Amino acid sequence: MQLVLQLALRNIWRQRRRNFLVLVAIVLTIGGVFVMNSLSRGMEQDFLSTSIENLQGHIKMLSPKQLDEPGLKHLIANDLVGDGFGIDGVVATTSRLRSPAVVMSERETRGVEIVGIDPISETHSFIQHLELAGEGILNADEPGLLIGQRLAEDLKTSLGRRLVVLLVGPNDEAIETGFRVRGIFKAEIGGYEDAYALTGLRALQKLVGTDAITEVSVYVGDLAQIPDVQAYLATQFPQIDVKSWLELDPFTGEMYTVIGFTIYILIAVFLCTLIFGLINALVTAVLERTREFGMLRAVGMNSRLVVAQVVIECVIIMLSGLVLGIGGGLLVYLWLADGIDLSAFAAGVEAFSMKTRMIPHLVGEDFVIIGLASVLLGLIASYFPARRIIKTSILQSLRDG
Amino acid sequence: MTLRPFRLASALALLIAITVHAEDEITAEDLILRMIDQSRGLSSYSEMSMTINRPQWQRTSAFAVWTRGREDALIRFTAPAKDAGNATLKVGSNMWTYSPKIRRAIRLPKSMMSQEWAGSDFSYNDLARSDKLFVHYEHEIVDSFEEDGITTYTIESRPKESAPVVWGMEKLVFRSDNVVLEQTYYDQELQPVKSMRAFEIQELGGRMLAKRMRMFNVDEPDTWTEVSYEHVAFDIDIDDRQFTQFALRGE
Repeated sequence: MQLVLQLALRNIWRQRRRNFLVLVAIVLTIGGVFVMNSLSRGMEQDFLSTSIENLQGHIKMLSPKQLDEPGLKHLIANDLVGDGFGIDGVVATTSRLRSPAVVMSERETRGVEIVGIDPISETHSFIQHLELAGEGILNADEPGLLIGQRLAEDLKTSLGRRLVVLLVGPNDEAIETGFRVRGIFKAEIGGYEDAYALTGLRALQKLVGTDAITEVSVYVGDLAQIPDVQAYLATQFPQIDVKSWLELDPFTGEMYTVIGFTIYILIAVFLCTLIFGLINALVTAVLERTREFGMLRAVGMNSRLVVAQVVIECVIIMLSGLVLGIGGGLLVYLWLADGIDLSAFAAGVEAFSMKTRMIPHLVGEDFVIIGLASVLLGLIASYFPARRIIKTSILQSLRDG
Repeated sequence: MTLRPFRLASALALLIAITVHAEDEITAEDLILRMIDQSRGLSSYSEMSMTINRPQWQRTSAFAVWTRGREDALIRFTAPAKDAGNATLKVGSNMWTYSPKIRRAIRLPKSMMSQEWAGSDFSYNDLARSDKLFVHYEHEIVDSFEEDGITTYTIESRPKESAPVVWGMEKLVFRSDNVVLEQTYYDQELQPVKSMRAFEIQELGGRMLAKRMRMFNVDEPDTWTEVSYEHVAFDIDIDDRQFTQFALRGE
């Protein structure tokens, strides 16, 4: 065995130029897969967190009729939520009251969604990381309005000014009231800036004359816990709809699933190209050494050892390619770790509800898959050319070479 | 002048009181109530023309207006031919529009009330002028002068804190013979946004009225709408049917 290893290494060195090129091809492919994979995973994460943070949550509880007829007509009781229901895996819960509304300034009128929030428990939504001018919504009793930069520009209004908000109350009555602008926010996703007008939950309840809420968002620590928590809540509150984010946001849910799937297709395609290149190089290498292998067999080397020699040569190249490739990919990943700025294409990426900064994300199991698959494919790629050697007779190979 | 909290009932009582009292005791609230009341006599029928002016074009149309009490009105366009039959009905706080082209009456959602009416510089709210000015504002007489026995008051009205009002202030120039000379809307930095001026004050249908009223955009002086009375009659009998959706459709 020692001998075979020695022979293999020596042969690699003998054909160093060709083997070096093969190695470069492997390094580039593995490195490419590594970077592409981390970017795709980053995009996947981005889709997920964008959807969850869009006042969504992993699980949402709401009135069964709310989705068909959004507004203040179909509400649920506020005292549903204790302290996260005391369920394992739930890290946060928050209640909101929301309604489509019309907001008017001296010069313009816009349609928005007015959302009453409790800033104390609203810890897992985009509201957590807003760039804020003014005080914003500090508690659930805050009667002021927090609006986005874009909405403020559209309405030609500014901090401290008054806006009139019109909405339809729980009993179909028109409710019209003045709000002071308490804060203007910039969001990572520009669309939020003209979609939402935020105010205190209790202040909004008081205004529309209700104790009820529209929804409870539930956040879990681990995505895998969603089905269990959802099932538990559904049995606890049979009269209320308990929906997961995949059900509430099927578009993003689909994107999420598709990306996860595409990643594996991508890995497969890259590795396949690599394998065919590898087989090609090995077949040539084996063919031009027919005589040499014939000689080795003639002096009594076991044909299985001859095959092993070729396979080991290949695996050594493959493994070093893998190590160097992942190392190189890791360097690129670190270089990109702050994210790729896509703000030049802001309008386009927002249409896909993505953030304007693409941050790569590493998933350990993907690299186990890439590593195992490339070594396995290296074995296969070298085994078949090597088998040609032992298929021809020793005399034939000595003569042909 | 100090401002007092107001209730509609006590305001009405005051309104009666001011007709007895001398004019120098008049408060801004009294004047506002008088203006609101005066612009809505018991019932009226008028024929008006409306000119909409834009930097690029100008258009004139004509319509007839029936009013009943404070709350009800029907407006129907009579000219030009392509607008004839378009109508707006207001009953209480509800408003409908009708277009013969689509042969359908549409109830205006409240959210549409701040939109412009018939392409003019008047909003539906301007047409529907209710007692909003009275309920949601605090008023102050900032100036008054007397000429030929008629006192002209300038009143500044500022909305209360949570009032459903976008304006920072409204300024009203009002004559003691119940003619509104000017009404200007200010934004919250107290810059004028739009303004209505009255011209050719004369006796029409037995009352002192401005024959022409022009609403214009302060930032764009070329953008204005002028309405003028061609014919007015007050306190006439109007069939209740005139304020129904049948009448709106012109049936």
